[in-house]
Amino acid sequence: MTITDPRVDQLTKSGPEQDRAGLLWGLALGAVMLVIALVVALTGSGAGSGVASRAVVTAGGTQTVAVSLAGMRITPSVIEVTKGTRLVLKVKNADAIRHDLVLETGQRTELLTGGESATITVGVVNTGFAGWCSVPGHRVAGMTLSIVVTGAGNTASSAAKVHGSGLGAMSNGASASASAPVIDFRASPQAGWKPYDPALRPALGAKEHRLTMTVRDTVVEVAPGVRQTLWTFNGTAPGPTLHGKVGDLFTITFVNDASLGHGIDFHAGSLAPDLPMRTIDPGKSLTYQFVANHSGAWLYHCSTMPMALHIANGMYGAVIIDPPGLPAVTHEFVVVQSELYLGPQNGTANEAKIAAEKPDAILFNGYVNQYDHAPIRVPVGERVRVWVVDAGPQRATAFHVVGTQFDTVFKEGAYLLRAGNPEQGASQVLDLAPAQGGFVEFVLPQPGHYPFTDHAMVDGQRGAHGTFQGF
Amino acid sequence: MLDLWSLVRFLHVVGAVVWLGGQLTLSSLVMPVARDRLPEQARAGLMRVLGMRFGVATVTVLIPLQLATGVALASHKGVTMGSLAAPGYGRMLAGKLVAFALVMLAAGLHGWAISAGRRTLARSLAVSSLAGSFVVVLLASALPVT
Repeated sequence: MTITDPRVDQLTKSGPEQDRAGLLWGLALGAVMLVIALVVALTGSGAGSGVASRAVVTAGGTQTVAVSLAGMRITPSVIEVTKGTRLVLKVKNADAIRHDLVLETGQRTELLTGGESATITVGVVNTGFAGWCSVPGHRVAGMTLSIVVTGAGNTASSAAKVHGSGLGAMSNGASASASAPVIDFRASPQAGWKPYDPALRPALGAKEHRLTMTVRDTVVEVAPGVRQTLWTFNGTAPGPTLHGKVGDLFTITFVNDASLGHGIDFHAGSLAPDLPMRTIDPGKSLTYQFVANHSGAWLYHCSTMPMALHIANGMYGAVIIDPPGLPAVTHEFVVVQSELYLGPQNGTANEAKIAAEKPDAILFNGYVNQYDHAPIRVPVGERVRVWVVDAGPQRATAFHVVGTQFDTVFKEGAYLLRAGNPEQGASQVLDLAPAQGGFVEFVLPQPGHYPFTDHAMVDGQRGAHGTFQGF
Repeated sequence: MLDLWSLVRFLHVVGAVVWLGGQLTLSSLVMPVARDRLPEQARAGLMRVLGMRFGVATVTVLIPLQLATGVALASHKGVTMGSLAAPGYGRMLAGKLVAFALVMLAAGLHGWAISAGRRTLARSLAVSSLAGSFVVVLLASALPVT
């Protein structure tokens, strides 16, 4: 190292103009780097989703396509294959919940947990076919794949054909209703049938409530002679009703003893959903703790997507938190309304019917016309309080008791009407959107049979119906 | 949470800080002061020595450290070659890697330009290396936390 190095002399002979030129050129080069890096980083997000959803396989030989399962999508969702190509699918579950890939050809992966991979050697492809995730609800939610054959120079029509067959397969799913049992709304349950007890048990004095809620696949009768395999909380749908006062602490041990991933969401508490509402795999459990800071008739339900299916298949229930100063009554009931989308006998809910919002029946506490078969007996002249929660998953309710007027209505945390109000007003219907809740109070004026129904009459005539028997 | 991966991430961040901070110190602090206070030849000699040492440290320590910790962090996060093409995290990381490669290219060419006596070009490359390093940090900051 010597400072008389001629190259150094040369370097030092430069003037301020050269310095400025160097600075400007440097900044320009830096700007170019910024642009290049940003193009790489950002162009993908615009075009990528479209590009990634459609993969075109180069012709001939054996071609391997990486398939990702995540976010209720199969990516790519369309794979174009030249006729005669030998196709291999490398399938990866890039999600936190479990998925699989089933092909129309009968080939399939195992159920993959997050991060797991599997390979399907499809073989030589000559015709298009469909694929999907077979975890209940995931196909309807969008986890579908189309293998489209090109090479006859007629991409569009073959694509259309495969899409058509995909839709055909879906509507076959819908017409599986053919194999679903038919509800006879006039039939009676067999001897030995036990109704779901509508009585609300009084809130315990304790400030803390501990309960284990276990999800199990349970065969449940939902209408006379009609049985479904429901995913139940503690064996029933609706699940157990929790009852407490404002400020009570609820500690729930949630156990998944079923065959699919499930979660739970209590509307009665306010907390960050990330951990307590996460989906847990079969055999796992979690603790869900919340303080009921507000009164109301609150829904709880499974928090696993697609929730429409999980709720429709029995995963719902009520948490009743009394408003302060609520007078005790002897006759206090809970009615949870839900929809029935019948799958095959002993099967699970039909996903196509759910997607089409076409329920077979509407239920009070999980059974068609339940309290017509087992009327709720109430003495004349005594105050009756009925808590109502609309579990949905999709339809509202217009709860009405024929022959009575409600003198007290409490809906979504507030009294709409109180007995003895200066207007001398009363109410005929408690309307609840899905997941809303409240209560009504009334007194039966004389002995007789007082039907209660969803006054959306179509729903009232297909199962959302019961009877108070005044004596 | 403080665990082994916090340590790896710490090393990666410190490596970036030293590289960016070193360049910034040399070009915006040492250079102007040396120009004011030192005779031309002494200044040129000083800058050559500092440049050489910084270059050697970069090649022998910083680049291996950044590559090792970077690859470890990426694989821990489940990044694969395929996922680099996916929009979002993958593309952002790919952009950052491209910027990093360009910066290293500019820094290497800067060393060559100095020894070849191409002063203006050397200065351009030094400035672009510094600017490009900021681009790397910008994209690192933009990586989604998930």
